[in-house]
Amino acid sequence: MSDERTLQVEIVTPDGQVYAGEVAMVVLPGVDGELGVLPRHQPLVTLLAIGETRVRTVTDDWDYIATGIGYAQVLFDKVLVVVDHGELAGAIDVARAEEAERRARERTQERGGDLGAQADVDYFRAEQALKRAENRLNVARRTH
Amino acid sequence: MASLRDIRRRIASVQNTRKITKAMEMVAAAKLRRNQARIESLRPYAGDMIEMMVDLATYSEDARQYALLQEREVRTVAVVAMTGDRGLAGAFNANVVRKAMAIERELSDQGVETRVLAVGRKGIGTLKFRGCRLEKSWQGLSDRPQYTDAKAIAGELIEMYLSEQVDRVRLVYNHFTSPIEQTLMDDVILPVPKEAVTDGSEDRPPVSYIYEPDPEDILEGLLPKYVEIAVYQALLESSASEQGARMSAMRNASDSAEEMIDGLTLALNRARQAAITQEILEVVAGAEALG
Repeated sequence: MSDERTLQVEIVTPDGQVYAGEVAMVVLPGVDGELGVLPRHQPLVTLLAIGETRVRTVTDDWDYIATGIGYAQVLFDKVLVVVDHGELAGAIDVARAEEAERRARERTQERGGDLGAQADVDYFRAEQALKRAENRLNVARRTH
Repeated sequence: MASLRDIRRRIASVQNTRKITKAMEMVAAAKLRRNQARIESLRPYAGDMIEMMVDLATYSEDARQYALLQEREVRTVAVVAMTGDRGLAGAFNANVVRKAMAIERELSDQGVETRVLAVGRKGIGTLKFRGCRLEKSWQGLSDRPQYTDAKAIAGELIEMYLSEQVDRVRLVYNHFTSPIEQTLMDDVILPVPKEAVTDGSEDRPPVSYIYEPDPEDILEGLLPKYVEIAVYQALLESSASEQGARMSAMRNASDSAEEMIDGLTLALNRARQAAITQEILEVVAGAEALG
């Protein structure tokens, strides 16, 4: 058991580090689909989409983190996740997240009506906000 | 000469003012510390992100033309003036507005059109008062700027740049040098300065990474983050500078109040002494007249 390899994982956001630790496995939300990283993984750089980053700890528990857009770098059993937003599932305020989701949904529906208006930026933005809100909620609900 | 009562009243009033300026100084100092901590926590993220862009730019093979790096002939410039939401901070807000106006004048002399954008209630107010047409403005975020605010602002700027409404974006803000010193900055944030994402990677050992998708696509995806980081950093710096400027302004005000109180106390004592002397003279004169 003592020679079992582990991964060092670190999640960094503009507001500081949100997660760090010695773990068994990391699952990342890459832009082209989910991506599992185990120890001795080849060096890798990937673009991340808004989604859920899962971490399997050495005690075989899962930690869930809602993460935003950014990148992940894997090098010598160290996984560095640099994203513009990151929240541990346990720290998400579900009531607030639901409220944000409702607002974002209303906005996308408002704007979705007249899609003709020049590839609507507002619509795109509302959609992004909705994706973020949904993501937060999905991740938060995993622990309940 | 002012009566004793008048002087006492003035002393009380100046003492009240000093209490307020002292309190504001202390509040500003506390907020300054909080803002400094936030500048610190941004540093690793910004550092990692920019390092990765440099790596990607170095190892990407095709010389792709990235939209956000593209230098165009400059016909229209967006000037973003970043001020605070509140006053009572010395020349903090006025400096930014003055600089933004100077840039606008200079550019229009060269025949370049400008679009003015403002962040912060004070800047919005002053610029509007001086007859500036504001393209866009944001307020209510100078006290506790959030990354999502920076994202929204950066999003608008990128959109203006990509749709060729403007060919360059300049950001005017106060850089936090020390609690008592702010440096006025004027940075070009769009197009993303090439040297910012291409310099300084020669001495890093090359590692053969798997890139997913390829390095060019990753770089393209990350470039907007550079603008977001630049805006967020400016927001945090400006916010810390504002508190620093307010702290110094309020300290000066408290010191002046102190001086005034000293002067007034001296005047009060003199007036009181004069009154007592007068009374003694009257008593002595009265006694002499009787005797």
